[in-house]
Amino acid sequence: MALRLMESLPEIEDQELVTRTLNGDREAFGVLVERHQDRIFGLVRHYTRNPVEVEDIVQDTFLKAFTRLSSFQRQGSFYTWVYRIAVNTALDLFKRQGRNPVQTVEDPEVIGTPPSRGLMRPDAQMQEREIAEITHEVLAELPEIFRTVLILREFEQQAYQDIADLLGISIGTVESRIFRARAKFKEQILQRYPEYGQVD
Amino acid sequence: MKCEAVRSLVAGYLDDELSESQASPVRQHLLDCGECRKLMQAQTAEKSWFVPTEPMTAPEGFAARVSRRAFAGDKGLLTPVAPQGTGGGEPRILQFAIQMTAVAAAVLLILALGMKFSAHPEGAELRADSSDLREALETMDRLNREERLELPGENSAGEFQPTATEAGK
Repeated sequence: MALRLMESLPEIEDQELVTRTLNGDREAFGVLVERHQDRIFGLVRHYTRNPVEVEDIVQDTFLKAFTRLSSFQRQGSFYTWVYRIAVNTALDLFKRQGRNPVQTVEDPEVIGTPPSRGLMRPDAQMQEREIAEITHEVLAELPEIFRTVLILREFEQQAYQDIADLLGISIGTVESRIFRARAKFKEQILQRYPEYGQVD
Repeated sequence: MKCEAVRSLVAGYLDDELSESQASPVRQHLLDCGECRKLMQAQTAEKSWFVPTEPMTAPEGFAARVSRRAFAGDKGLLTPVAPQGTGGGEPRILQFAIQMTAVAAAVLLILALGMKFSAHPEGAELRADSSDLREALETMDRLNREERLELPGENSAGEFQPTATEAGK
């Protein structure tokens, strides 16, 4: 097995690795990729269940990061910067493919009439994998703006402020978008699986 | 705290996004109000569908491969490329038509500017070809003088004098 790149350049700050990469050090960039690749893979797989597509998106994310490396602000976090590129790369791909076109969140038509019934918790007997299957199936049907905030909040456990910074929107917009996204998620899950509706 | 205010804060409360000064009255209200508590329970149920997923690991050698491709100038598979071959013919025709229109407009503009600066009189005075005109006038004067010499009835002032035959009529 090839020696992992991180073992050769341990303990070096991301900022230093960026500088080395800009000076033509290929190994330094390899360490940057290796340091953050798993989290980026973890993020992107919430956007698509196709492993080949996940790998393509992550690869493009780092290739884009490399070409724009000189614009990276050193005082910021490299991971946050790459994370933003990953989200945009995934969204760009789906937009180009006509999947889940972006809709304006403020449009009340996006939400429609919220279902009056509540949503039950998943069955206690269900495996986590089964729950995740249903959740991702429903997420895939949501407009992209809702899907993204739910992924960032619920799977990535990002704080509202971090989501706001990442997406370039105000924290108030994040709050309202998460609220609407949850309502839409509930509506979709009840449409597909009415048995999970609460009985009054 | 009123129910309406609490309901707008329930999501932030569940996400642990409220400061203690905001969370405390919400907590107190939820203890007292069954309807708002029900709303909070519903949102908790919604959140329970987002179960933590297993960590994902990148394929072996991924970082080295990406780094090698980056330094080789690879821009990525998903970078949009211009349509090639027979596909996308219509946009290419449209692009060609736009380019040709732009070229024609530029040529017309250059021609118009050329005509303006080369053919337009520069001064306020109308400029005809004065040397030719002067020459023509002198020729006409000379011809007139010669003609007058040939006509016997014309006086020195150039007034026409009828001949005797004509006067007797």
